Amino acid sequence: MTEFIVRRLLQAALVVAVMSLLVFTGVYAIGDPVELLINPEADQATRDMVASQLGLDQPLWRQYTLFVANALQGDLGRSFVFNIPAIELILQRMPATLELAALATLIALVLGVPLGLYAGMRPYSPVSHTIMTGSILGFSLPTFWVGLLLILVFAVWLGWLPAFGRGKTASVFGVEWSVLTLDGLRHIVLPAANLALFKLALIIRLTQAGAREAALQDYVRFARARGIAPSRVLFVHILRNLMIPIVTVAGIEFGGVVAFAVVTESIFNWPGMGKLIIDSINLLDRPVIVAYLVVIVFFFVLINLLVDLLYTLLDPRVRLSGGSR
Amino acid sequence: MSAAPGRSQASSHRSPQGEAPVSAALLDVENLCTSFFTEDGEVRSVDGVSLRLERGEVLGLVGESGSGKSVMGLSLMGLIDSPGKIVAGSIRLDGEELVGAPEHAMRRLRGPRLGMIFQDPLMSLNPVLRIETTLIETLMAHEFIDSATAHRRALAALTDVGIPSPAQRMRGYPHEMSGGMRQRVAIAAALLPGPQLLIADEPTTALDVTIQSQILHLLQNLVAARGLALIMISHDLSVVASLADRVAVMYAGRIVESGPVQQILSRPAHPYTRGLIHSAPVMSEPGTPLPQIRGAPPSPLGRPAGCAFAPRCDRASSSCMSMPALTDLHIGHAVRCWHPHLEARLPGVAA
Amino acid sequence: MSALSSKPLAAPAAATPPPPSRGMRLVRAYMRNRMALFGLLLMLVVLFLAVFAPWIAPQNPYDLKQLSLMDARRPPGTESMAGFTFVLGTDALGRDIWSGILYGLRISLTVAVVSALVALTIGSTLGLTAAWRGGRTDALIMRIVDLQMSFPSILVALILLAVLGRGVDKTIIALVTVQWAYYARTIRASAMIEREKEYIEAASCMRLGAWRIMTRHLLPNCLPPLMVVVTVQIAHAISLEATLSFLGIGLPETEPSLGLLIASGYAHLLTGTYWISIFPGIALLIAIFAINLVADHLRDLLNPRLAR
Repeated sequence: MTEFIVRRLLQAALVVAVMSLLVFTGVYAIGDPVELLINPEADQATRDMVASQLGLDQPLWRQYTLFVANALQGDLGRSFVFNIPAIELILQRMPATLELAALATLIALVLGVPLGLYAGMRPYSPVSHTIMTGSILGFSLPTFWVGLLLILVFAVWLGWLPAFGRGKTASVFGVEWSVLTLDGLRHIVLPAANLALFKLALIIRLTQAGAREAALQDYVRFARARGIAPSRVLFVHILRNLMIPIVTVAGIEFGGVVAFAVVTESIFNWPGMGKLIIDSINLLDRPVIVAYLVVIVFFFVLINLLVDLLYTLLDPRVRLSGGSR
Repeated sequence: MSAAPGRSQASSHRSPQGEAPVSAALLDVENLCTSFFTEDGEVRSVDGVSLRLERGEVLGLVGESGSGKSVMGLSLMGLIDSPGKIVAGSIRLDGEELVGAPEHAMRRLRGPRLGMIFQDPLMSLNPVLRIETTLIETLMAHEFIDSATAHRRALAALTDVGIPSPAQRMRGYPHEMSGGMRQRVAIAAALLPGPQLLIADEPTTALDVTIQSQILHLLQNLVAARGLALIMISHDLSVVASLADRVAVMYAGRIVESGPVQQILSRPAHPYTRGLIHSAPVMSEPGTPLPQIRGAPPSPLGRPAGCAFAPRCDRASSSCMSMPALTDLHIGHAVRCWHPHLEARLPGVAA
Repeated sequence: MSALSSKPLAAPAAATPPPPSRGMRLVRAYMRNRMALFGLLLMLVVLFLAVFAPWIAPQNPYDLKQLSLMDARRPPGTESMAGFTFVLGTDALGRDIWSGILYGLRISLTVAVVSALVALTIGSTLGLTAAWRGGRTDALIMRIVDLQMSFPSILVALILLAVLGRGVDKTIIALVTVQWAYYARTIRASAMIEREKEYIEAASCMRLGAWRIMTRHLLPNCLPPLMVVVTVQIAHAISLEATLSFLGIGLPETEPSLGLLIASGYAHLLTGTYWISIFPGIALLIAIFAINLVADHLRDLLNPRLAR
């Protein structure tokens, strides 16, 4: 088992290293950050001074090695714009994004699994057809537009919920959580719903397909042939088998939700990592961009690893054949 | 091969007026028709099948794929789902009518009165549940018992079907066992609630040949020990021959011949039955060309109007354009054919 | 006593007509589903509007001579000075929203289709090569595919556009990069199955060039799942491009796609001037929804497991 984990961690490190190189090299090619930070009428001397302060006058490879050396010590550069360590900036914003993503995933699962189950068990009913067509609508709706629509309806026309920002937060374990305050909840509802929509549609479809297939399986027939109650057939036999792919997909997709939060955060002005990266791209704050991408890559790789481990826990067939094999 | 002991104890009950007892069969199926309504049309998988089964009797239901034999088994259990439906006929289990019975009534029968096992035990046993869970849930579905008693009975059931070190096996999962052991577990689970009738749909087809005979042997013992009535569905006559008291041959949704197993094997009357027996490789002399029934079974959508076997039959004539009825040749031996074979087969029958 | 005989097969009592060809069956099955037909119809309407936009639109919103600031932010139904009605209102520069939608559809669809075709070509080539060569080539290509697919499309597009900047070609490059892996994987899967079949073996025996076998024999049989992927990917590309343009990193302002139109109305949302963002959004939604409907039913039809 440990061999498995170690091997995966090494693979992860390799991926992170490769990605960081790609990202660094690529980002280097963006315009000139110096231009953005100083008075356009400044003379060359001032520019040179700023450039050397930011380390931009060094050749590329030099900059990269410096970057790696620092990175291994936990320093991913300083933001050109805010002048604080990039990693600090990102970690400041991370809880907000994670909270949003977690809530969105929860909504998607809690609503999606029952709807998908129903549609899978009764495939010919009109309700099921509605659910399935609705799910196509769900993943056709562009997230950003739904966000606008939500703001329009709930904030502008009905005035029930606020459109922007995070609201009040409560501090637990030194981290700010907004779901723990009523005001925070009011603020998080719309963006979380917006982010959840796409996932919801996918989970409905996944669950439906799985349930439909499971219902045709011999073990379901055998259970019915022994007179097992339909509720038990559904929840123990079908759902138990379904949960494996659903949970693994939800887990892997969590990374996608975090990434897609970029859009939702921009619209709802949610102070998370996503908004940070968009702003950084527009402001050419290179260290932040690079740091963000490195963190995200790391995050992804970690999620994949965790999901793999989770899978071995859930499926006895995999577990007993040994993850280390 | 011995006659099932249960047979001589055909149960009887007094009719309400207290007259001479009327013997009641365990299972009485009359003119059962099951169809599937697909986009391409109605598929009549079971087309007017009647049969009777006594307590403790073993009936072999033989036919190729597409003959409707599996659908027959599922129809008896009431497990036909849409787009399928039992469209006509009656199924009486101990006098109780099953066709049209509501689902909750059927569920009370499945397990304690009727049981079924399927072809591939790797698929029939839920892979994420432990063996003990599968067994115990079967008991709990029908009785109010505590888990300790349930555990004991499950253990005893595993021993009954010949599983070595049952206590260890209980905690294990299906994929940890061999195919033969899995099928034993399935049999144990199906028999736990004590049904009077077990339907076995190709129980040995997915198993190795040596294991096949073990399972057949087990079934034989269980039938004898419990007076269990068994419907053995198979495409393989030889498998059925060793176990059954009576055989019914199905073709294109209908029974084309039925009778005591020895009769069917030694004097098969229907040309299809004869073809089946002769085309079994074990029956041929080495070196001689393997006999075969030419052609293929009709598609369930496009069955010919008359005898369904006529296009493949050497003895077909113009009278075969109309459907023959099931007529008795001798006592208990019926055949659906205008030109049945009346002579005995060539010797060399393997018992 | 052998059952073999020299008698000819007796004619079946009821002759059945020959079954229709696979293509016809597919079309007929598709037609039977009302939702699918609806989707197809919708898609054709959208396509028509996009292709014939310059002839249908009452105004060319990018011809500055036709605009007047007096018409800015008019609600739907207002009469314009030129005599036609602003059916869906105008935006902050006095441009007719309906015309903007038509031209925007054009751009959005063009970008999406072009990127899909390019990605299809690249992905198919790589996927076929991987399937045909097998071994290390296959492993290498598939590794890259897996790596690519483990990152969400928005992230990949974001990184690329952060590096490349705004522009039509750059957006297309980003869209291609996001999509090619799906094509590669799909084609490889089909090709691996087909490769084992006998007709390919026969073709190899006849010493036809590998390339020829791949394109003329292998590829046509891999088409069904590919059709579904192309359709889905086009819808996905439209959505992604709109998102990127909305965020200001996709298409430039000279090529105003629907995403950009929606973005321009974002600031006005709070004052109740909803039409600038909402109507283009609805148009976008209809386009994507229609394509997804078609793709979904296509997938159901081509799925062998559900055929029972």
